[in-house]
Amino acid sequence: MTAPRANLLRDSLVVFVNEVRIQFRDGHVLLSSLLLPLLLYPLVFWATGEFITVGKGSVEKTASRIGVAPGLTGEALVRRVGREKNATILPVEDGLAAVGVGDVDAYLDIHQNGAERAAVTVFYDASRPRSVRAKQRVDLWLVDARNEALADAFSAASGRRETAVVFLRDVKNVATPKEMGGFLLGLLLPLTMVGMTTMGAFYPAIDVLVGERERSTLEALLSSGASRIAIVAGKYLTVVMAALLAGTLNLGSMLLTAMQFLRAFGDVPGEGFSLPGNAVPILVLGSLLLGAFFGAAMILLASLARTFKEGQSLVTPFYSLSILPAMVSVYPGFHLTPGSALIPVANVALMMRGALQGELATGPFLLTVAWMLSLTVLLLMFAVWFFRQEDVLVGSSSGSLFAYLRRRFERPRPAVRVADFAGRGAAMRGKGAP
Amino acid sequence: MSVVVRVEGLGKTFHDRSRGPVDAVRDLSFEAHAGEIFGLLGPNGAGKTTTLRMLATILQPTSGRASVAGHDLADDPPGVRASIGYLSGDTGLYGRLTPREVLRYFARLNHYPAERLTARIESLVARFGMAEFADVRCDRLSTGMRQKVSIARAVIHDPPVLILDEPTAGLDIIVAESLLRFIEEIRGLGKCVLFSTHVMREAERLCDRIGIIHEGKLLAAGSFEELQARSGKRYLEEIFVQLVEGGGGASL
Repeated sequence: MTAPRANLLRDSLVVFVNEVRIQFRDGHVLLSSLLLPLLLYPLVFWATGEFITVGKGSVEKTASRIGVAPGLTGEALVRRVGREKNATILPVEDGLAAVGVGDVDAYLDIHQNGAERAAVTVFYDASRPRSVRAKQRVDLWLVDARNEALADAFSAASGRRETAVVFLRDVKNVATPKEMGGFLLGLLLPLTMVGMTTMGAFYPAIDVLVGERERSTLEALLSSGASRIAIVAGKYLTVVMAALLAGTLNLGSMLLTAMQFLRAFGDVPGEGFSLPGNAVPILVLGSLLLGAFFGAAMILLASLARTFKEGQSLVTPFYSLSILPAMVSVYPGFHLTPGSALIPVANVALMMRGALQGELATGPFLLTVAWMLSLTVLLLMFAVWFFRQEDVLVGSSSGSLFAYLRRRFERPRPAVRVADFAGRGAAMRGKGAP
Repeated sequence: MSVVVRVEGLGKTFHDRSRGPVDAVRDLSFEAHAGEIFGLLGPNGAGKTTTLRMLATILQPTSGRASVAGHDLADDPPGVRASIGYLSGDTGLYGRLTPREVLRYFARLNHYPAERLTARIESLVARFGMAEFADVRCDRLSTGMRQKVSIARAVIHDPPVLILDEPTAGLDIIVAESLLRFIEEIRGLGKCVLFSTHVMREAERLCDRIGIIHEGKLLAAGSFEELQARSGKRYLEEIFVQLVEGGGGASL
């Protein structure tokens, strides 16, 4: 009797399509891969924007209550500050206590420093926005008062007040909108991409294998015409797709929302603030590398689990730790070098930041891609090997990686293997299945 | 009748952490033919499930050899898998798929010709009376409905051999009866059915030949009438007890 021939690619695609259907009918996957990336940023930025608008408006409209010692209200400097429309001068006995309890927003401690020079210490409460704003205002008022005093002195000495402008108080940002976009997104985006990609891979990675055990569908699947490699490949593709979807949706949603936000509230040029165009392919590549790597690692870990709970226990430590290497991308001192290109996850995060900030070197970039692909292939080979172990398949692995490895390595050759199968075990394994 | 399943000296040893090597199946040999229901009868833990899992290529034997529909278990596992439909009593379904989707999935996994796929699915939907729930997600189906889907799933690619591991376990009497009728029906279509059970009445009723298995060893094999004649006992229960207490099938 001639059996239909198995086809790795076709069978993998059959498993993949089915898994996608199953996964995207699951609420957890929909939430982590689609809804969260799409809704998280608009919601967070909207809430933050509302908070800033309301908070900033409220603080700006309110006059700052400036406390001074009762005997100093007639002091020239105090009178100068008192002329500001946003200032209210209040005499207080104990300035520090008054600031502490919020009776005044800032306290000016004016004292003599040397023969004729007045020194001012500004006390404020950095934990209260009103006090912080008062301190900012006082800073400016003191500069203006000093400039006026200098101009008066210059005028008295030379008789020409119009030339007595000491300095101009103004600042200009010389960065282009693209540079600003690259800089700000470079700090924010790689770390978030790593977080979202791992989140996108988390549930599918556990469910594609453990779900088969929990539903008791694994035996039916293993006795079907698809090879074990095709089964693992199809399931792996599903996990990568979920991770990639979460990563790229996250990227798009975050970019659009962040740009709107920065235009509205940020200290960046509104018109033309944009993502460097040549960074987009690198970002997509980065997302793909992360998805492929996390998918392979998580499937490998989850393959030992007998229940979803065990799967979570096995994958969660990796999930939590995976964000750590990516944190280097928020520190300006780190760059993608041949050395850092060998640190998984950190290398991709630095690669994405480098692309956004226009400082990506070709050598470390290529090394990052090659190294991540190599690690992914290695992890996948382990995953396939695991999936072909009977004690993994029948769930006698205790749901613990360490317990499994200890069991395998404490005895030279497990009896469950085909040691006595008259030399046919090698032939079976060599033929790809089981 | 042609031999469809041939098992020769099959064995399986598991390693148990506390007990050391455990022989789940020892030197098992039997044959099953087209148009025949061959029953493996034995108590829980006798080695029935391990035997059937080996024949379904889920487990690898540690000794012996076997062939299914001409495909050697060791040399051609994909060929074996393409020739069997496997169903155990605790086989589940994909809760997020509908019966039609489950059938389509397994038909494609088993390389059923695409041009005949829809017709095959519809014929099974009609045969098992699944039309009313064929597009309802499986996690919303009753036990009886799910069992119908499971049977249809096992035969969707029209395999020459059906491996059924205690398929009536946990089913109510009506669902179990309809399953037994279906097994009789497919025997009539010339299929070879390997059927394991620990329920004597099921074995008596269904099986053309019965293999009595205990502690991994086949104690005796033959038709019910042959076993009766050899043992001098009337009921299968008596035959079974005699074999088990006698410690082997030498007398049979």
